[in-house]
Amino acid sequence: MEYFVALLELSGIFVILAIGVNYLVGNAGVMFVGQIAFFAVGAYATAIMTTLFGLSPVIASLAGAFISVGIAAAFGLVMRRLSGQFLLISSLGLCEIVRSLVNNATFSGGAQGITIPESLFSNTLLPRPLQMPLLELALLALEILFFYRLDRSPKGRLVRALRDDPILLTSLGYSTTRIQGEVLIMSAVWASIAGSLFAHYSQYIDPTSFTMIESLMILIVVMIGGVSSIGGSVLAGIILIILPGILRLLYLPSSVVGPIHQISFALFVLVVLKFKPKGILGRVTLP
Amino acid sequence: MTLFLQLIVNGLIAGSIYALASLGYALTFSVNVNNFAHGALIMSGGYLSYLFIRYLGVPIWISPILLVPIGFIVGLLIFQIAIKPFRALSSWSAGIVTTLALGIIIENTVLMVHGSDLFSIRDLLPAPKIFHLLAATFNIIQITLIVISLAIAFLLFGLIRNSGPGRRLRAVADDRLASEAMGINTDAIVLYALILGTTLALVSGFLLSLDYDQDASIGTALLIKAYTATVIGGAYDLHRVVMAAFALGILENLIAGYVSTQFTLAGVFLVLIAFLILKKEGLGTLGLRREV
Repeated sequence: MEYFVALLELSGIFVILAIGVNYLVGNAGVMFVGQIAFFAVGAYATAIMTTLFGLSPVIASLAGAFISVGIAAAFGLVMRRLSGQFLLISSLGLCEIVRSLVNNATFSGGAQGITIPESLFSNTLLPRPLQMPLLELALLALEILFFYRLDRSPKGRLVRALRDDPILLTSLGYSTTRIQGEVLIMSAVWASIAGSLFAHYSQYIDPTSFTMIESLMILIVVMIGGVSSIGGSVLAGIILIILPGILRLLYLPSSVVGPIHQISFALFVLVVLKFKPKGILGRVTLP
Repeated sequence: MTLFLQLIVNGLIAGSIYALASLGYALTFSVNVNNFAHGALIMSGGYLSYLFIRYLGVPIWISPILLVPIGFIVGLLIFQIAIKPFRALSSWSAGIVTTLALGIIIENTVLMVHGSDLFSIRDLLPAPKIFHLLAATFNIIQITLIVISLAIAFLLFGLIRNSGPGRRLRAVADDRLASEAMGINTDAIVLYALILGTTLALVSGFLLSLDYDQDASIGTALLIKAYTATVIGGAYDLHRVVMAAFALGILENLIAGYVSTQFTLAGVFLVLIAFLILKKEGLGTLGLRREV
């Protein structure tokens, strides 16, 4: 049971990450999949500021989000020269650059990583096992509300126009670079918050959790659930939980569970794309 | 100076392996297919050769020849599973995700069979003869490796320039719609490019494991390097892709020697991003078509 709760908590974090990726990829049509870079920034900001400087977790995650906004804004300046697959590859590059920096810097503990003590949440009234699930649910609800409202606002229509007809948008006097940058920053903030949650969840972070393969896995989650569909990302996240749960029930040796999990995930995306090219709940075709 | 010379020599050796890997990638890239399983295929080429030589007692010269029919079958499978069903979608990202999924399957299969330990043919061979030139040291295997790689590259240039399918491939790369109108079966050409690309990936994996230790997860880095050489070379000009691959090998060894081995892939990425921003058409004459 504890195992399933832990899986549920972990998948909640990845759903928060995936919804942000989905909005950027699905609604804005911007193929930036490097959110793992911001995820890493959030996780490391939380780990370093809470353990070394003794700051509160909220301030630490806000600081992480702030740094992520800075990186996203800088990348946004570069991004107007990139599109399509070149943007996808470059965003993987951002992941690798961030990963190799934290892997070699002394402040981040290098390859050894950082341990975060469990006691950080102790000064709240809630019992320990409920803290993480409730925090995640609250943040998830906030995020879904945020993107749902955004999608139905005038801004959200501009974002969808960016995907469907950027030339029209330019001819109407809107700056596509600016809209792209704004959506990238929103996505980066949520990725950073998810990273902060991840640091508290796993209580130990090292650079192996932030490889570009993880970024591509998030893209696969988004595509399984359906591009431009919040519900789809939540659903794909839940599938992410069920899969290792089933594998666990088969009593496989632990060295095989990891690879089989990834293989079954890869087979799953092939089957979904074959029969439902838009993803399970997707409304638009992939870019 | 000693270090510099040695790094250049090491770079040429690495570059000759990247050259074949990048040629394989560039062939499929030129007909608008991004094969993200390419890195895993390179890795599996090394692993298959390791299996052949270690457990089946295949002579070392035979194992790359065995990889050719395997490349044919695997290329066909990739086309049938990951490319053909999604051609009608006209979605470039679907192709990336499906080939990526195949790559994940290949990588994790090796991980299940072999675990995360290193493997290399190098350890199975007798100690090679070592040469000294100026201040640089290299061995007979490394020279053979460069020669084989260049020989295969020139064979491929001839094939693409003069053979019928090669000419059709260049036509499809240049203008797909016009080639279709002229009666070229573009699906067959994509399949042809994939089979050639897969075979080249497997063979470059064999060459890689002659001189390097690999593990199951090496594929992603190799994919990025092949992609980078393809883009810098300009994709349609295979000569320049080979030159870019050598330049990349040297650059990577210079970073490893003077900065840190930890930053080689990040350095490759920086070069790639700089090229994409400043000179998207690459060094190639035909250049990549710009997206509007």
